[in-house]
Order: sequence, then structure tokens, then C-alpha cells
Amino acid sequence: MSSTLCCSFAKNVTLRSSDGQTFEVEEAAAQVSQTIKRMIEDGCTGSVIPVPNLTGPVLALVIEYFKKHSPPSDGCPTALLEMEIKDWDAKFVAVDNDTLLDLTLAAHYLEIQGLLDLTCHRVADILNDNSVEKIREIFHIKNDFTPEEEAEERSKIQWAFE
Amino acid sequence: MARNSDMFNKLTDYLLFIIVSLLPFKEAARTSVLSKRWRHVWRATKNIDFNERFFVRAGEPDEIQESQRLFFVHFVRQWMENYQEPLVENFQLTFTKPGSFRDDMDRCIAFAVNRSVRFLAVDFSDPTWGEDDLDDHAALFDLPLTVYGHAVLESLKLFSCSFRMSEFVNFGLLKDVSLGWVELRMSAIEAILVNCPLLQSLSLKKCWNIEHLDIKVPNLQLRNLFIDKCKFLQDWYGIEAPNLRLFKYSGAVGFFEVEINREVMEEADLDFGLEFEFDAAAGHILYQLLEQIYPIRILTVCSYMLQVIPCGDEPFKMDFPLNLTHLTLKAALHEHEFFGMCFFLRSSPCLETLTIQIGPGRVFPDYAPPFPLAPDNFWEQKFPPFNSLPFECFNTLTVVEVEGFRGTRHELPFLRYLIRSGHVLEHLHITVSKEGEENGGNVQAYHERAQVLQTFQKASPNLQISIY
Repeated sequence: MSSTLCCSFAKNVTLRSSDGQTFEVEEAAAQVSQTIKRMIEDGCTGSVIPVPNLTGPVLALVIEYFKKHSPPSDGCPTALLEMEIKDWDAKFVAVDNDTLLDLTLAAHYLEIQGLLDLTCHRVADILNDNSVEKIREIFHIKNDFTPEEEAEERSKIQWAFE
Repeated sequence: MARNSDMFNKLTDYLLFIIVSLLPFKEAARTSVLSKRWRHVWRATKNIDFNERFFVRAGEPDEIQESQRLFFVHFVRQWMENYQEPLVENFQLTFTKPGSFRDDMDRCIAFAVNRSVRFLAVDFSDPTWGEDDLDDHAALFDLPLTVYGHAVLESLKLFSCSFRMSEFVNFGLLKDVSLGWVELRMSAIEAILVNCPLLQSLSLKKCWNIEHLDIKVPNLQLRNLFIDKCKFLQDWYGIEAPNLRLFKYSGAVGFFEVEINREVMEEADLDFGLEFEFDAAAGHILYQLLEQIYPIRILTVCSYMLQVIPCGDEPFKMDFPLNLTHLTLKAALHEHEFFGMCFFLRSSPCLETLTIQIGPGRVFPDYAPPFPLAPDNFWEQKFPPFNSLPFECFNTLTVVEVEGFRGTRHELPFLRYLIRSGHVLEHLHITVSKEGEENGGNVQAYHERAQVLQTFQKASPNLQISIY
């Protein structure tokens, strides 16, 4: 594999979403995903890499994340750059809740630890800031407890509602 | 996916567990009533906070509190019994009367340690011990020996829990140590600094019997230092911390010897609310402290500082200007503070934000101003401490925030002065005091008085006044 090393920095890979859309992205950027990194190391680079759990729009977002988080070509990230990326991240996950959960799943499936932390924290913030009723509404959670069952669950953790 | 179907359907149970583990314990518990799927997720959370305050209500009679406490103990026992996960990340235990439940306390701590906890906090302090309480409270619990071998700890908080300094040798990964409500010797502090080479944050709250403070070891990484109402036998505080970024001190005045790196040090918060007497001599001592920390950009000072600082050898301003961009005054806006307010405004030529948190302050009846004080037209006249020149900071000051506005006798004249002088001011944010009528407050009147600010002549055409 010595020939791949010398020209790897400009090399692209093609990712294909569940609905058949394809995206070209620099190999180094795509390796932000541990899953893709392993596939590349296993020699899947010649052909298209299938990403069957992600639809085109979600994969497009994930690729934006790859590009922002690909390792800088000139050494260590500076404190300023880190701050800029943090701001960018915050904006990146300020999406509708359905997309947010799609991104969470994508981060999990593609093993992108940074994105997983980011999306899970965002979801946790929403859960933290809202009442039970409001959370059900926001995420369309169907309350499948009978009123008696719900009352019983609530009584078990009455302290958490005081 | 069909519209209106449960969005969480697409996430695996593992992901729900990750998300719930990021929630505070109480909020995690609440997720159990969302739907049947969520019922047991929180019982696996890696973020556990056994907090008696959730169960025992303040102000209840003793016997009721006792039964609430017992209920809490049962809850804790059952919860631990049902817990299946191999790893706990964050474990907090808050309990007031550990003496009657020593075995339970030991079991809780062992539970966390056996699951490789990385953030451990135990708090046995009594909520009835006041912040300004001068009594020394002996620690109510000893740290169990099992903890000393737990080398993976990254954060340790011990409140009213004593520890053996000689055993404090395995915590090479600790980044954050917080000690409170405990008798402490300087040798113990030193042992922590020496044995925890990665230490970034050290917090001491209501610790007592410390000989003096001497934060100085080679290669100290410490970034944040908090000293909160501790009692020292000698009022000498030496700090040599080249990586220190934030220094927060609340307590009595003393002789400070602070050596910091000007490139790193950013922020200080100095509160001398534990001083009960006016002492003009403290002015020079505090002046020297400000000289030592002059590179900071963010500073919070208290009412005591404002009264005392102009009584030192340099009553007008710092000899070398401060680099402050953000100054916060925790003040009563009492006339005794006026010369001090001038001192800081005059010493901060690059100030951008001024925050005034109006509170009771600590105003001394025997205060002796450094110059004759005419409080009612202080912010109008041109007399020695003012000179005829406006402060340099008005060239840079863009934001003024006032919290706890009531529109009292001195608040409006000072704010009018700022509005008339701040020629680049962009925002004046006024948050009126929320003190209700039961405490003699009148929120509506405060709002009406705040409206008066809109009528003052503005030096800056871009000034927007917002009232909350």
C-alpha cells in the first residue's frame, strides 16, 4: 500500500446513501468516521462505499461535518480554530428534531465520536429544558401508559417532580 | 417515516441510555414516565446523584425530616440493588446525618468505586450551616479507605468528609479537587498539589484552621483556584501559579503574594464580604494585590473593595492601568462606594463592559472618605477626584448592565452620568429588582423609575436602553 501513502492527501472516496445518491469526499475527511476508516483500510476504496443506513440529505450533512472536522494539514489545531469549530458545531446541530435524531443515529452507525457527543448533548438539553408533556409533544412520543400505570410510575419517582 | 410517529423509534436503546446518562439525575428519572419504552432507561444512567435534598425538605420539623431521610435511604438501597451496569461515570452523594447510616454511606461509595467512577462527590455538610457561619464544624464522615486506591479518579469533591493526607498518593489523574467544611492543614493542600500533577482546579470552601495559604510547587498546572470563606490562622496568601487563569477569592483581607503569568491569567473575583470592620489600611494591601494581578481582563470587586481602595496611598487610580475589558461591581451603590467606583473606572482605560450587581453590600457606618464627600451632586460636579476630564474608559465602554435596579437615590444620578458621558455606549441593560411586596419591594415602581432613564440626554446616538 506504499503507493497510496504518497498521494493520499488529495485522494477522494465516493459514498452512496440508502436512496442511491453518491457523494465524493476527500479520503482524509471521511476517516473522521471510524467505520469508513476501517473500510478504507480494508481496501474498499476502489469502488463506491455504501452507507445503507443514511439517506442522501443526512449523508450530505454528515459530509459537511467531515469537512469541518478533517484533521488540519498543517499540524495542531490552534485555540482560535477550536473555538471557531465549537461555534460551528453549535450551529450545525441547531436543526429540526427529526434531523437531529437522524444525525445521532448516523454518528452512532458511522462511529463519529465527536458528532455523537454533540448530538446526544443537544438531545439531552432539549429533554432537560422541557416538561414530560412537552417532550412527548416535541418528539411525538405516544404515551402508551394507562392513566393508572402512569400514576404509578410517577408515584415511584415523586421526588423528581417536586 | 410516517409523520407524527415517535421520532425516537429510530434510535436504539443504547442511544437512549447514552442520552439519559447526560441528564442530571432528577431529569433522567422524569424520563421514566414518557412511555413504556423509557420506563427503565434511567435506571442504567452513568450519572448518579443520590441527593437527600430531593427528599428531605428544608424547614420541616425534625421528625418529619427523619422519616423523609429514611425514605431516601430506602430509595438508595433499592436503586443500587437494581443497578446492572458495570461502569459509573459520575457519582454524587449528599447526605446530612451520615452518623446514623455509616454502613449505607460506605456501601454507596464502594458501589461507585467498584464501578470505576471517575467523578466522585460526597457532601455531608448540613444545609443549616450558614455561609457566613463562623463556627468550625468538624467533618461528619471519614473517607472510606477503599477510595484511596482508586487511581482512575479525575474529580473529587469532599464536603464535611475528612481524608488522610498520608494516603493521598494514588490520585495521579485528578484534575479537579474540591474540599469544603473540613479542618485542613497547609501540609494537606501541599500533598494534593504534589501528588496530583494534572490538577487544573482547586476549590476550598469553608475550610478552617489552615495555617496560611502557600500554593507553590514545581510544574504546577493549576488553572482555576477558588478560596471561599476559609479561615486561616495567618492572613498571608502566597500563590505562585504560572498556569493560573481564574482566581476567585472570598474571605477576609490578608497579605497576598500572587505570581502569575500575564499571558495566561484572565479573570479574578475578589470578595471581602467577611470583613466586618472598616480598615483604611487595607486600601494599600488591596492596591498591591491589584498590582500583582494587573494583566487580567475580567474583574469582579465587592462593596468592601470600593470603600477601602481609595483610602490607600493612591486614592485616584492605579499607577499602571488595569487591562480590564469587563468590570463587575457587586455594590450597594451607596455613597461610600463612590470614590472606589471612580478609582476603578479611571484605572481601566480599555473597559468595554461594566456590570453593576446591586445588592446590600457591606457598608460601614464609620467609613472615612478620602476626600470631602457631597453625595447628592457627586456625579455632577468637577472637583479633585474627578478632575475636569472624563474617564478614558468612555472611549471604549459599549455595554452597561445593571442587575437589581430599584431606582434609589444614588442609582439614577450614577446612571445618568454614564448615559451623558458614554459617547460610544451601545447597550444599557437594566434588570429591575424582583423583590416582591412581601419584602417591602415594589416591582412596578422600579419599572417606572427605570423608564426615566430613557429621558436622559444621551452622549451616544447608538445607545439602546433595555429594561427587563
